[in-house]
Amino acid sequence: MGLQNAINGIPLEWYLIVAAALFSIGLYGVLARKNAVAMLMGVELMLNSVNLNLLAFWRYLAPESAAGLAFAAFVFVVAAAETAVGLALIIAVYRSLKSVDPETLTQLKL
Amino acid sequence: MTLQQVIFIILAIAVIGSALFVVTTSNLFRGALMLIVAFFGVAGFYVLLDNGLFAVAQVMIYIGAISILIIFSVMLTRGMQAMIPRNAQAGSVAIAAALLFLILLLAFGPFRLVVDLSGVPILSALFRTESARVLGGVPWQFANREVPETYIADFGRALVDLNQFLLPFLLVAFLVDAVLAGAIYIARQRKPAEVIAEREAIAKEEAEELAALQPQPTAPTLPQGAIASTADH
Amino acid sequence: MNVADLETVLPFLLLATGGVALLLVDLAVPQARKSLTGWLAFVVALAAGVSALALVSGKTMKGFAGMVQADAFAYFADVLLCVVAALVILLSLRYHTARGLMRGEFYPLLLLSLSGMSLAVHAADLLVVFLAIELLSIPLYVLSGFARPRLESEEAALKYFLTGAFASGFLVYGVALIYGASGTTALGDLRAALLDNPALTSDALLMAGLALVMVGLLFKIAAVPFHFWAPDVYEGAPTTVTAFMATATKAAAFLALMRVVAGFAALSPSLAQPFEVADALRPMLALIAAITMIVGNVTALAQQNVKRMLAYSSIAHAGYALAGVASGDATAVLFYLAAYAFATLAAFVVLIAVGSTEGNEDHRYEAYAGLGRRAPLLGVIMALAMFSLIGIPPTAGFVGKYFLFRAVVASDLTWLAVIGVLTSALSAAFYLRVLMVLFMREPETAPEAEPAALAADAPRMVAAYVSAAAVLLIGVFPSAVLALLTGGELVALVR
Repeated sequence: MGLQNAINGIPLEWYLIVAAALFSIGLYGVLARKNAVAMLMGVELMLNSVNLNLLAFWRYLAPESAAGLAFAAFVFVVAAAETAVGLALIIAVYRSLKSVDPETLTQLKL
Repeated sequence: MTLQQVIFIILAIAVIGSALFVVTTSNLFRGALMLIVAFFGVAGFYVLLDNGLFAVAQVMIYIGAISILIIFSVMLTRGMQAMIPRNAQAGSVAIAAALLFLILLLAFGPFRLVVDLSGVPILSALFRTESARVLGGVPWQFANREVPETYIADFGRALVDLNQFLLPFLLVAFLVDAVLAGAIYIARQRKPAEVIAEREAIAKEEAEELAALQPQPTAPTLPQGAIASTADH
Repeated sequence: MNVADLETVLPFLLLATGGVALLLVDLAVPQARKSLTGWLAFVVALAAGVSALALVSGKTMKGFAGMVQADAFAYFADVLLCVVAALVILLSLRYHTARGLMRGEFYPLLLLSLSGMSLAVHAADLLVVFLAIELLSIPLYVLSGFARPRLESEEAALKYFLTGAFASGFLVYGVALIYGASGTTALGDLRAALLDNPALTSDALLMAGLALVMVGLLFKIAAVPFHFWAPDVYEGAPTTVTAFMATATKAAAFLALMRVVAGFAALSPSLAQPFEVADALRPMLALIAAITMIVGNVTALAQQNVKRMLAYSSIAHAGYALAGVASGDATAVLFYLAAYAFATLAAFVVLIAVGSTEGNEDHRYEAYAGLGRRAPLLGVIMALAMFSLIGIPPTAGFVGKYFLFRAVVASDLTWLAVIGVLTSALSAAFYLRVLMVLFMREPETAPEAEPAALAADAPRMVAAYVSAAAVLLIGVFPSAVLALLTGGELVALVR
């Protein structure tokens, strides 16, 4: 099949691969980090990878339809919403504990 | 190699490199700054994908709002820069993440370019992707490559069109409402004195209600200890 | 604006607009009178429940360009969710006052979360599934941390948020891949595309997307091995919020899961039932159901804390319901979820009554010693709840498990039903332990709580009677519930 579905010489798969790498890195960030802010950064990377996928699908497969764009826009909103609530919670816990490491949360076992 | 390919490869290296730095660094502040680089790189991809609107939105939302929030909270929760960046399971998590990436790679089927796997029965089944692309039963239109000039207007109309995305649009509006109320509730600092005064007012009223219900000589009131124990944070 | 479109999501619209309006109304309510906000929220929840009850019919309607589907399953779930939420509001009035949590924001957030649940059960599009789950989750993160600045509540909220956001990432990435593979996110179109285009059924991109979506949803229903967050969150959250999460959230997430599974039934159609499950998915679902039942019940056995035991119990029951999903019988699953929800709510009535007394909230088994004799009414309600969770007739739990295991056996998964029956027998050990502590054990120290204080609150007693009556009535008259559920005819989850 080669590069016949490429736009400007870039096949769709390149975007999908970068997005998959970004998602896997974000996943590692959420699961391997000890700090809640760092875990949140991992989540943001995962959501960015989703948007990169959606935009690539829109451009390559259905540029005339607004569906991919609308989907991506909703992911933007959800990402911002999650960040706002998450950081509020992180700061609240930090105020009570002076630490935001989920493993040293004393009251509950992980 | 076209110019776009070169730009793509540079962007890919920048995004993946900075993302790797974000998830491995022990200095959270630098991690947050590298996160901005990763977000910029993704915005660059959107430009390559002929979507200026989303490139701008990416810069405004992810860098202008989300990264700034993250940097603020890194600075507000000081004192953890020196902490060990990874937990005990980091090794196995890395293997799992790499495995997930490999599986996704197989799903996208790019290796066909390099190796002809059609002879291997299981793998060839995995690679039957392109011909089967459908759009609501119709094959994906690879031929129609042009982005319509009115794509921004179309997108805007689709969001408020009853027959397209009005319901999800309504839904995220309520979502943002909930986030506003919830984040303010969580983040607002309450002084211990305020909590005590509030509880005493409620307890007094409760006592009055109980006294009105059952005329007893000693209406139950809130013990002092209970107030102190919840207000000491 | 087409009225028929609005009708398909009427409960959602009532709850969401009611929640936002209540946010404003609450500003005018003085701090000492916050129970007024609670009563207003109670009215909104009941109104939404009544609207759903009025709309139940055998007909299946699509709305908003096929994004939502209004059918008997959805309306039944709406009624269940609204009744559960209304009961939780009744339970919260005294509990929040006693714990210093009587804040007006609780009720609007509860209603917004409930609106997300209502939309999740109506969803006929993966995009709506994702966004509705976000709308139900984000207020719940805040509600789990509602007892701030109490540390365990804040920690529970943070843990819930981190796992929830992680799971959402999986879900939405999966939806994006499915969109890329099939060109649609609508479950009905997806089904049609799979039927029209057999090559799509072995598409690797689609399979990867489906796997990611399933992981995201299994996180939300707390199935093993994606359950680790649940016990901590359930234990740390305020008990009213725990009751809401263990009952309503679970039911809503399960219906969303079933809709997704039904959308993919055309991968390899196997059963001629209204709700189908693809042969490709069944072994995986059955395996996770079996592990969830075993792990949930065995771990619950080792708990020393009633609230934490109920958290593991909710994991175990997710396993039973998942067995029903694997069997492909949506009616049995929803019936089971209703039976489970009311029994669990009845158990939480007792926990909330204990938590509503002054002093520290203590849910260790020892703290419950002799409670059944000091407050016989609470003892009887707990006994009913435990019998129903074990599955002893004539309670709802028995009929629920009977329908469920019958469906599982009918779909050639007899081994799964055997595991279900065996783990149910095992579960009797820890459920009966609660009753033993309640009735047989003498408290080590003189009880501080007055029996009068335990039973004094009228709204809580109403909630207790309603949930206990539901446990008994569903157990004795299951056909009435089934009639509501199927609307007199068989319904398809995805059309």
